[in-house]
Amino acid sequence: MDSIKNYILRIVIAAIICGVVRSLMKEKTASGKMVNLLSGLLMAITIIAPLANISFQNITAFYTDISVDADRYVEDGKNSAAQTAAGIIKTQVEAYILDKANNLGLQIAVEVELDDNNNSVPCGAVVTGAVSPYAKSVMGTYMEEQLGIPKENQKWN
Amino acid sequence: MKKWIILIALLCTVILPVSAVEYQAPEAPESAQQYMPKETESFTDGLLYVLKTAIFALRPSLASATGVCLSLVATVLLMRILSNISDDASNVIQLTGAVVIGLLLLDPVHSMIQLGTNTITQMSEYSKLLLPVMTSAMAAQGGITSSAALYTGTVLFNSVLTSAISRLVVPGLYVFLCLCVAGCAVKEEMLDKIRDTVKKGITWCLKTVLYIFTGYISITGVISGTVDASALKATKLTISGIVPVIGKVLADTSETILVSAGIMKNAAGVYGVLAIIAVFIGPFLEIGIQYLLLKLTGAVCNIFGNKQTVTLINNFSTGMGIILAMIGTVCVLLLISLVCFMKGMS
Repeated sequence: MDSIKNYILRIVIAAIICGVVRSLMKEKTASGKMVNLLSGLLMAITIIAPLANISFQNITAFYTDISVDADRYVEDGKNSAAQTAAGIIKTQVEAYILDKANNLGLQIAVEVELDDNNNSVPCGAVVTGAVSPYAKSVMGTYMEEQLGIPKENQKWN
Repeated sequence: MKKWIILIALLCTVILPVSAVEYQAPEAPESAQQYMPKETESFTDGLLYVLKTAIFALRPSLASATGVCLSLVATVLLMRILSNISDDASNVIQLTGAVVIGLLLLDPVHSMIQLGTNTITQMSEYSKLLLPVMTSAMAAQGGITSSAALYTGTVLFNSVLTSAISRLVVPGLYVFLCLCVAGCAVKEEMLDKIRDTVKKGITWCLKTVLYIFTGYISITGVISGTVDASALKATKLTISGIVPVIGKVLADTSETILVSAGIMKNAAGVYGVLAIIAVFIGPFLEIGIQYLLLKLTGAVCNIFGNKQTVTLINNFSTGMGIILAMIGTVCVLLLISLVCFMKGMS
């Protein structure tokens, strides 16, 4: 508020000085015209003087801060979407494996591992339960060919 | 029985995604709570509720504004009567009249300027809470480049605008009003010219920020939108190249995430737009009614008042108009930004 008061005060003082000086001079003389010009300049400088205080360094630093914030919020959004997607994919892949096991008459529990660096693609599975060698082979092939889980990453307990 | 359990498990995988990605708009500021509808699912119904509530809440300020206007009419009438009685004292009457009108209007205009600046602060503060939510939601929806560009642009222009308003426009407005009173009191042509320049400077400043912001939004919207669309297409192509069943799972999940993030983002956006309008509408109507009443007073005084006095009253109403333009510019800037966020990748 103080800066506003000072600004208005400066303008009022400049206006008074200009008014007094102009009233002392005759307008049609050369010196009068010069005084008119100078008083106009003084008023213009007083009005636009606050613009000179604008620091471009501050603006650049401020822009950098905003960009950093924007990146952080974008990263939050991406992470949130990726976590949600990972949860859905894990549940769905486990459901597919359980469905296949059910068709083979197996009673198993399965825990799917996801590759976080590659669009949450399943990369491993831990199967728990009694499984015959034939069923293990069928299930292993299904998981490798249909779900992209390589046999070496399939653990059978 | 087993089939039922598996069916339920499969159904759960379909149900989960809709409630998975959650983005909620921050609660509207306290001053806007009285205008906010309880349900914000329908934008039109919400907007109508906000407008209706704001219009009904107007009555008290209408009464005080009318009182000031009647005092103005009485002052102008008294000046005319005194001028008719004594022609010699017309300059003194003019000077005194200008001071009295200035004093009568200074308090309401000052409180309106305070109201305007408070409203701008509230809108800006609310946008600081809302924009991160919209940015994250848009990024989750696939608009990674667009959301960053929109956030950066909106915050930057909003800060520039609010700084310009507090450091240039508001002081400029006080200068404008002082010059109006001084010009009316002493009939100095130079003061009138400076007054007009200050007014032009203020309106130019507000218009320019809004024009540049609109231009920035239009250009970055097209460029970053294309980049995001290409990135999404590339991701879909990558997914479709993966083994059959998991490829379908990934594609479905990706689509579900995009849709659910879009729904959440739009819900947050609608609430945000209504909250910003709710912050804006009360002060806008209050200042707007004062602006119209001053215009009406100017028209009535024009019948019997002298030119300078009527011009002074009209200039004060112009001052009210500048306050309206100030809060209107900030509101429009935020609304444009929110609409762009909502339009985003949909």
